[in-house]
Order: sequence, then C-alpha cells, then structure tokens
Amino acid sequence: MKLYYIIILLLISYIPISIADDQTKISYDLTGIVIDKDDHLPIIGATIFIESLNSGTITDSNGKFHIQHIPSSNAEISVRYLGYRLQKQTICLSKQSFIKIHLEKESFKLNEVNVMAEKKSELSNYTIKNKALEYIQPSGLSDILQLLPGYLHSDGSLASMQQITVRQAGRDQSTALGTSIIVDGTPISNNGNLSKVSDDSGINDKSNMNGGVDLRSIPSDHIEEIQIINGIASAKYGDITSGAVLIKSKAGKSPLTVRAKLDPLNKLVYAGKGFMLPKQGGNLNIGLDWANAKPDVRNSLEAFQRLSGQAIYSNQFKLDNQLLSFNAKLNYTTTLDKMRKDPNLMHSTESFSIENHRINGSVYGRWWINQSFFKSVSYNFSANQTIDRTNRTKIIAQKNASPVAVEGVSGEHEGFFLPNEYISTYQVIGKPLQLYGSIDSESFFRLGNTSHKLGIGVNTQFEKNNGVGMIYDPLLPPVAGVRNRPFNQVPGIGQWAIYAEDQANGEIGKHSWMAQAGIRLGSMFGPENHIHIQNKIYPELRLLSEWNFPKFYFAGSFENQFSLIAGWGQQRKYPTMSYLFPETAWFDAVALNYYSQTEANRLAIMNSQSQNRENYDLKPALNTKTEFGIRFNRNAFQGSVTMFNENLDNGFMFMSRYNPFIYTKYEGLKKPVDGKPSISDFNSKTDTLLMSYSRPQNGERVIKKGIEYRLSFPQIEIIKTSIEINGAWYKTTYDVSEPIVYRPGQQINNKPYPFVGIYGWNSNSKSNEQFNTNLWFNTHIPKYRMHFSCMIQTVWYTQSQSLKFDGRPTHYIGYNGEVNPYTDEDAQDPIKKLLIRSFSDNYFKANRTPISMSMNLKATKEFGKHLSVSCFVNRIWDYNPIYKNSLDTNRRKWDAPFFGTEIKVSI
Amino acid sequence: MRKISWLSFMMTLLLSFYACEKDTINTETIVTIQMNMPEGYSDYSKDNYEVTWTNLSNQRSTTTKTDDAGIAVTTLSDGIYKLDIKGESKNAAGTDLATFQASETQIAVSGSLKTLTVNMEQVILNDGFLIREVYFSGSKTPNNKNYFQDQYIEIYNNSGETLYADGLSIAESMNTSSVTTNLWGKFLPNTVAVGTVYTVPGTGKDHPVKPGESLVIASMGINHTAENPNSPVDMSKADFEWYDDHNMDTDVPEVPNMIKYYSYSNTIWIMHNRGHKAYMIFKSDIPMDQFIQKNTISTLSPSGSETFAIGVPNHLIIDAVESAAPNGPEIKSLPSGLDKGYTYCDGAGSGLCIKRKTARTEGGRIILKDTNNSTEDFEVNAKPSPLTK
Repeated sequence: MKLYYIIILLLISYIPISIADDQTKISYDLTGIVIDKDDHLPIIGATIFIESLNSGTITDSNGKFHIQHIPSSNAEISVRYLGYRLQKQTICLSKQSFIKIHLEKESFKLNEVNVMAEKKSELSNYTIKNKALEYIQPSGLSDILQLLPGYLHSDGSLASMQQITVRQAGRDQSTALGTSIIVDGTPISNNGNLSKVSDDSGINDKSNMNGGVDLRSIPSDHIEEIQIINGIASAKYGDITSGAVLIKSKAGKSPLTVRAKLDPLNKLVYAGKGFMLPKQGGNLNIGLDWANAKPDVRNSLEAFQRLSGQAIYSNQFKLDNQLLSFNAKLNYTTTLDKMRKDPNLMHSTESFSIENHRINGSVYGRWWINQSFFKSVSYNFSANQTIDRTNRTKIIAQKNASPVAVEGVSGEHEGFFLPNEYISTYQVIGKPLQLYGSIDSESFFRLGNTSHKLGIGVNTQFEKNNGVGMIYDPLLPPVAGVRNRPFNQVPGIGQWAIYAEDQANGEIGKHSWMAQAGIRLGSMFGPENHIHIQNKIYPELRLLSEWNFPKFYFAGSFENQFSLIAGWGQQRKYPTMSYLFPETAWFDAVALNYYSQTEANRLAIMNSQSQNRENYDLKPALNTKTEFGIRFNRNAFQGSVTMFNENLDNGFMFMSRYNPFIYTKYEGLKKPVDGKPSISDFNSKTDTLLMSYSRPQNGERVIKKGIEYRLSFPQIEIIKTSIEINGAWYKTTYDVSEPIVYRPGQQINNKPYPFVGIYGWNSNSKSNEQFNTNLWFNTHIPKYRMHFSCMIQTVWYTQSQSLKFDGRPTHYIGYNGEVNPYTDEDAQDPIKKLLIRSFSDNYFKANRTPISMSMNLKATKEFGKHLSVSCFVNRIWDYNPIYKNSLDTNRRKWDAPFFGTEIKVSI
Repeated sequence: MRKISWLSFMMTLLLSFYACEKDTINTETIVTIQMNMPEGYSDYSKDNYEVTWTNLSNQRSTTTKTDDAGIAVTTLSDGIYKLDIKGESKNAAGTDLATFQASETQIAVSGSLKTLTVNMEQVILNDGFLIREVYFSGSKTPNNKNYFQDQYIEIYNNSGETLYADGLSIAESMNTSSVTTNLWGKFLPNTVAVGTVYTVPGTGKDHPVKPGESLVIASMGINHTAENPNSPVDMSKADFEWYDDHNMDTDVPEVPNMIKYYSYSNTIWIMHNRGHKAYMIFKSDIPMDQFIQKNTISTLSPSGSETFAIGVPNHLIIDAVESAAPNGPEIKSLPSGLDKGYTYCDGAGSGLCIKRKTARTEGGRIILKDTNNSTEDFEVNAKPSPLTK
C-alpha cells in the first residue's frame, strides 16, 4: 500500500524533467524597483510574487528586483511589505522590461480599506491582513475569528481558557486538538503536554492537555497576516483534522508603534519597532506585548497575565546568484493564571497559579531560484521549549478517615490513614520540547495548454517532555490514590511527512478551470508496540477543483461570472503523547479498615493492583471532508454559498473499562486483641470488586454539516458604506463510534450492582444546530480618515437534542469479567433488567432557543500622522425574547453590553 | 312650632332605628359529625370523644362530645372552621385501650343539617423507648469545611423498667419533606417508606438500657472534639455505630457495629444534614431478613425509573419524629398519628440538634414529653448533650 503511493510521488517528480526542454521556449525576465510613494525611498526586502506562475523574488538592498524565466507574457504581480498596502498590477512583459512600483503606507486616508476577511478562490480559505487585523481591536487570536461567517460574536476576554472551534455548533476537544496553529511555518504543538490533574475541581478546567493551543497565549500584535483554513487544506499542512491557522509574523522595517487597549475586563499594551540595521545589515523587528485580564473586576485575587517578546532579524543573501531571504526569530511568551482565596475569610488559604513559558527559536526563509522549473525553495527550522508549572495549595477535608495505599507497592500491604483535614501542596512541572524542520519547493511547468504549479516538500517533527511531573508529599496527597509518573520517563515521539501537490489551470473555450490534487504521506516514529502507528505510512489525498463559466453581460456593462467549486479531502491527526502513553492506573481495595480510638492501634490493609492503560490498537484520527460551492462575481459584488460535510469517525477519547479485582477481605477479630492487631487476628474471605479505569480509544465521532454564505456588496458612494452579509447554518452531531460501558447505581442486597452494561450510546451524544446571519455596514470616510462599522448579528435559532436511544445494552459484563450478549431473557430477569436505562419524557426533546439579535459597533479614526484612536461597543442594542425550554421553564438570555477603547501611536 | 320639631325628632329617631337594622342575617348551621374508626379498630367504642370546632376567623371554639354511635351534633354560625376530635376508648372485649384522634381544617360551614364523616387515626403513645436527640447538621472545621462524621441519634428509656435494645432498628424516611414531589405519600398512613434500616444486634437480652439511660448510635465512634475543635460531641463512648462496608467509611473497633439491613446509598449513609427527613425507631416482629424481603416497596420517580424503599408498617413504629425545614414540611413523611407537627434545626454545619423536652422529674428520673406532636415535644436548635456512658 505504502509502496504504491511512493511510486506515484516519484512519477510526479519525473514529469518536470521531461518537460524541462519545453520551458526554454517561453521565458521572460522582469526587472524593476519598489519605492515608497511618500518619501520616494527604495524598499528593501519587499516581496514580488506572481501567484499564477509561482514566480517571485524579494527586492535587494537597492530596492531592485530581477525575476528570470517567467513562463508567460502576461502576469499579475503582487507587491507587499509590512505596513504598506498590497499592490496588484497586471503587466505585459516583453523580452526586457523595467517597472517602477510605488507602495503606499496603509492608512484610513486611502480609498477602499478592506476590514473584512478576504476569501481566496479556493474553498473556505480566509485571509485577514493589515488594517482588517487592527480594526478588530483584538486582545488575542480568538477575537480575529469573529470575522468568519459562522462564529457567534462574543467579547474578547482573556479571563478563561480559549479553545478554537471550527464550523460547528457547540465545541469539542477533537476539533481544538485537530486545528493546527502554524506560526511562520512552524506548528505550535500541544502534543507533548502531559500536565493535568484530574479530580482537582478548581483547576480541572485550566488544563488544555489533549486539546488545542490556548488561544490566549498568542498575542495578535506580532501578526502581520493571518490565513484561516476551515475547509480542505493544501497537502502542505498535516497532523490536522479540522483546519489550520497560518500566522505570518511582522518582520522588516516598521515605525515605532505603541498600542494600548482597555476594556472592563482586559488591559493590553504593545510596543514594537522594526529597525533597519546599518551597512545593509538587514532589519531587526522587535515587539513587546503585555496583557492582563480579570474574570471579575471586584476580585483582585484572580487574574490572568501574558507577557510576550519577539525579535526577528531579517536579511537577504545571494546564493548561486539568486536571492535568499533569511529570518532568525526569537520569541518568549509567558502566561500566568492565578487565584488565591481571600485569607481574611478562611483560616488557611487555598490558591493556584499556572505559569506557562514558551521559548521559540526559528530560522526560516525562502530562496528565490527562479529556474525554468524550480522557482523557489522555502526552509524552516525551529525549536520550541515550553515550561509549564502548576502550583497548587488545597485544603482537603475527608468525609471519613480513609485509608490510603502506599505508592509503588503491589498486592496486599499495610496502608495508612490520612488526617481528617490537611493542607496539600503540590506542583506539576512539564517541559515539552518540540523540534521541527521543513523544506518546501515550488515549481512551475506547462503541459500542453495547461499550466501546473507543483509543490513538493518534506517535514519532520520530534517531541519529548522533560518535566518531572507531579511533585507532592505522598503522606499528604492532593487526591487519594494518586501515583507519580515523571514526564521525563515518557518516550519521545516524532512524525515525518512528504507531500506533492499539483495545481493545474486550463481553459476550454471561454471556460476556465482549476484542479488541485495533493497527496501526503506521513508516519510516526517512536511508539513501540503500537501496531497501527509504528512504521506504518498513512496517505492523505486532497482534491480541489474549480470551474469558471464564461463571463457574460447582463443589465449593464459589468462582467458577470459564475464559478463552481468542489473538493474532497482526507486529513489525519496523529495521537498525542498522552493518548499514546497514558499513565498506569492503580486499583486500591480496602482489605481491612481498623480505625481504633487509640492511634497506635490503628491498622489499614490495602490491596493494590496496577493496570496498563496503553492501547496498542490506537490509529490516527481521520477526518474526511467534502465541499461544494457556487460563486458569483459581478464587478465588485461577490456572492458565494458553500456546502460542506465532514466526517470524523475515530477521534481520540478516553473511554471507561471495567476489570474484576479479586482480593482477600478481613472482617472481625477472631478474639479480642490488646494493642495493635495483625492480619492473622482477623477472619478473612475472598471478595470481588469491579474496578473501572479509562483507556484512550478511537471512539469519538463528530459529523459536521453546514452551509456558509457570503454576499459582499460594493461601496455605495453616497453614504460611503459597503455592506456584507454573511452567515452559516451548522448541524453538528457528537457521538461515539465505539461501545460505552455503564454500571447502574442500584444496590442489590446491599452490595454494588454486579453487572456492567455495554451500550452503543453515550449520555453526551447529541445533535446541535445553529443558524446565523451577520449584517455588516462598513462606512469608510477617507476625508476624515475614519472607519465605522455596525454589525447586526442575528442568531435565528440554536438547538440541542440528545440522540435517541432505547436504553437497551448490546452486551453486558458478568461476574467474572466475561462479556455476554444481552438477550430478551435478560430483559425479564429482575436484576439484569435494571441494565436497561430509563429516561424521562423530556430527555430526548429538542431544546431550542429562539431568535437572538445584537448590534455591535466599532470605530477608528486617525489623527495627524501618528495617532489613531479606536473604540467598540458590543451589544449596544439586543433583542432576546422570553422562551420556553424543553422542561417548560421560561428562560431569557441576558447579556450586558461590553465596550472598550484603544490608542495607537506610530512614530 | 315646638310640636312640629318634637314630632320630626321622634320621626328621625324612629327612622334611624330602622336604618341601623342590619341587612345581613347571621345564619347558623347544624353540623353533624360521624366518627369512622380505622381498619381493624371498628369494634372500639366511639363514645365520649371530645369534638372541638374552632372558628378560624375569630378563633372561638365550641366543644361537644360524641355519643355511642360516634355522632356529635353542633350548631355553628357560618364560617370556616377547624375540627379536632380526640379521645381514648377500649375495644369491645375490654382488653385493649387505644387513643384515636382526627384533625381537619378549612371546613366551610353553611346551609343546614350538614353531615361530615371524619376518619380517625390511631395515636400510638408509648412510654418505652423515645428518640431523645437527633444530631444531623454536623459541624464545620476551623477551615470552614464540612464535618459530618459526628452525627448521631440518641434513644432514651422513658419508662420505669429496664428495656432491651436487641433488635431495635433505626430508620430514615425516604421522603425528603422539602421536596414537593409526593412519591411515597401513597403508602401513608399505614406504611412509612424508609431509605435506611440499621438494627441493634443481639439475641434478646444482650443490650439492656436502664430507666433514665440512653442508647447512643453514632456515625463514627471517636472523640470528635479532638479531630475537629468545632465539633460538640465525643462519641468514643457511643453504644453502637453504623458502618457501611465501603472504603469511604471507617470502622472503629471499640464501638460495636449496627447490622446494616438496608441503605439507599451505594457508598455511605450520611443523615440529611439539614434534617429534611423523618427519623424513627421500630422493632420487627419477624426475623429482619424476612422483614426486608417482605416489605420492599417501589414507586416511579419523575425521570421514569423505579425507586425502591422499605415500607415499615405503622404499628411496628415505636417512636418517630418529623424533622423538616423551619417553615414546615411541604409533604409530610409521617402520618399524623405518629407525629402531628414538625421540628427543625436551622442550617447544616451549625453543630446543633433537635432535642426532646423534659415533661417532669419523678424521683430523680427525667420523664420526657411525648404527645406525638414534635412541634410541642421538641426543642429546636438545641445544644447536643447526649447521655453517653
């Protein structure tokens, strides 16, 4: 199977060599200079790119550029540089051409500032840049997602952990884990995160182990451009199921910018500048960001803080007479989540603090070869070291004097009694290290009258957690029965992948078409015994196509055009360290509980057994996506409707299992004993307990269906306002694809229920729907250099409904741990019939919330050359009617308005 | 002139008399009561029971007595009334004396010759074992965490002779009186649904309790004041403790265990810490294993699932107390014959208990008050003072 795919890859790479001869026929050169429109100075390091031909380069130290081997006489070039408006020009090349390109600084005094997300021609791919990014007034990454059609508007607060959602009603961990956040080509990986203390309510929800990156840790101020891929991603991006967020950091020369943002819950300050180093030494762009958030203004003892510093050195070198851009980045981001209970209210205090430090060093860039076939090669090498430290002080009050087992001891042994109430202090220290490297090449060739852009690349990643894990006093444990598992004992894991992707363009008469086919082959290295992962190569096929109908004229002299888009793709996510190597579970049974009134005579006998939780059958999770779309363009008007269907059938989740545990139980002294007794003084009998533990499995099913639509109207000159209507209907089903075990709670003859049922349904299985429309009015007045937006979001309805279930198990686990099918006779047996789960009439009723509308305003005004002031008000008006929920209770959504302001100074 | 003014004055006086005359005529009704004895007690005499009518608007009472046939006729002015009937009588053979009572309120009296049939309930009074204290609220630790390990129930020998605790069971009602859903009311008044049954072990005369002494049954038999400075009691000298065979419970060897015959809980039994349950003591007339099997009852909960309990027959219950929220029970757990009123202890973790009042002292022995009405018989928010050895 894997050999088959490698052969295809090799064949693809042979094609260009045989075509190479053809290339010499059409070949143009382009030379030019890029100048700042205001001060007429050359711009060094600006990027000139011809998207359709994969050709491009960067300007040299004189602002000049030279591109060879351009395989077409017509080209649309785009020129960009940090802080300047993107310039697009169609030029006609003759054998020798020299052009002068003027770039304007991005500002609201220019016409047509775009503050919405731009949609590329491929499906579900949004780009947000420059002014649009600033206009949102973001505190962090999650605020930027508000521009996408299906995201329900919320206040950007850093007070609680933020996990990304993609095209869904509701949220789930698989999506957050399966969405990759890639900064300058390196994915921020959460695979090596092992820090979680379950059973500690209070900090349980502060851990994002097995989830996605905490969006709060990504400050928005270092970002120049963001691309969000919700649909079928290019084969270049892997280890994802849902989507990808591509972040490009600010690099290059830029003026000193200071930004301060304030709202009732958050404070943020940013300062950054791109220095041009003397003697053509390149640029050094430095940015510093500080943010603070409080979930409740009145409580100064609970807060979140973020500090982030980034420095990028960029320069260019000539390699083989062709320019190579070079960037060296160093980034240090630290977040701190802390809480402390008021010492005046309590005798002792409870507190926690969670620090997260991430240090990243990367080297990346692009070598603009501009040969007849190979056009450019990008490289990226980076190292990420994260140190996360959780400090927790907790008061543990026991319900009774519970005996506790001794760590590391198996079988029957003497345990000890915990004090009735004690203070437990512990630390969890994790140190995941991630090493990443990738090399990507872009090429171009022609085959007949079709043009092909070919991307081939390879990447590899290695991760290891060197933290010590949980540090605590075993005599005063934070959770009874906890065992220590040092993180540095967990083996390192790694991945590698190669891909090849061809985008072909052609014309048939007046129709034009695009077809993109990519294949990605990947594998993990490291996990021993995992038969489905070790040394197995997994292919991913991704197909996209677009058909553009001929342009036609209707009602006027404007061009109209319809396009059809279709796509199908496979995206795989490899299991994280926690899913591959879960810690050993321990069963502790109380064999004897002799709690004498005299402390010296107390005796606790425990019986402990370990259980290996690794699942050697674990496979990578596979998400299969299908998309169809229609697009219509008429001059500046754009409309599109996209329908999609995603099917994830084997997502990762921890699922319960039961094992019988047979041990000796001691009850009742044979005869009275003076002082401390020993085991032999007691009567004994054999007892069986059914002990439960959870095991990672490919059991999560997420099915996403939906329709996204977007209508973008050109600016109405009289009122200087452009209108955009976008929105989505999502239907998301959360279910399980593997059986769930459940043990009824009834007691039989004063003993716990003896059987465990196996069901094809989970109490979390449900189907959610939502339908929303966002109406944007963007008013741009260049004369006053201001921009004003009014966004009305209407959520027509949301709905949640548990998946129907008749309550009957398919099998059950008996006394000895054997699995039996559940028959009709069992349904009549007085004890076994209790395995059939019962539900109230309301349980499966759909819970529907009605229409909810809100109006949100944003405004930015520039003053003079250096100052700009922005403010926003969310929910200045809202409409939320009273409604009856599925339990027949009257409910009403109540949301207070939220507002904030920011000042930006640019020198 | 004088004649005319004198005449007009007389006329006005006459007219005013007529004007002052009341338009409404106060009607009276003759009301007849017919007493109905409960099942199994139809041969008991109905004679000479005290019938009291209380007008709810002006709180005036009228009292009559019943005749042989259990009929009492009273003339009442129209209004809304409360009716109380009480008394005691012997059975036809003359061998047994029993007390009966009935209470009804919001009776609208109007029209004439109205007849009302009233169902009597048996009042079980005993001067044997009585529940003296129930301490369910627990206490708080200095760090303000909950501490329920010090819960206990104290049973007092109110009689003049030594009684034996062997086979005595304590039980907590299934019904939570603060909940408005009436799941177990269908079994009243003859059966009370209970969720826990723990029994004192013994063959019959193993555990004597002298007159004026108590049997203290604790959740955990240790000195709680040493573990938690805020706990009010030392249970190290308790007579028994209830122990659930679960790793969350602790077995103190120095205090013997009750025999656990039934518990609704899969883990450990903790008394409802705000006291919204009824507590009772009873003695089964058959072996406990058979008792549990014979008296398992069930009902359907709102979620559709079947919930089980043990139904204790009324006549086996020796003493019971209806503990509820300070405002009273939404739905009573006990029939009025066992406890007409209710008592309470504010707030969980207060370290306070409900305590039966002293009626009188006889030659150094305290006699506790028992009128089967805990509103009168119990002291609320009392300081725990169990008579441990």
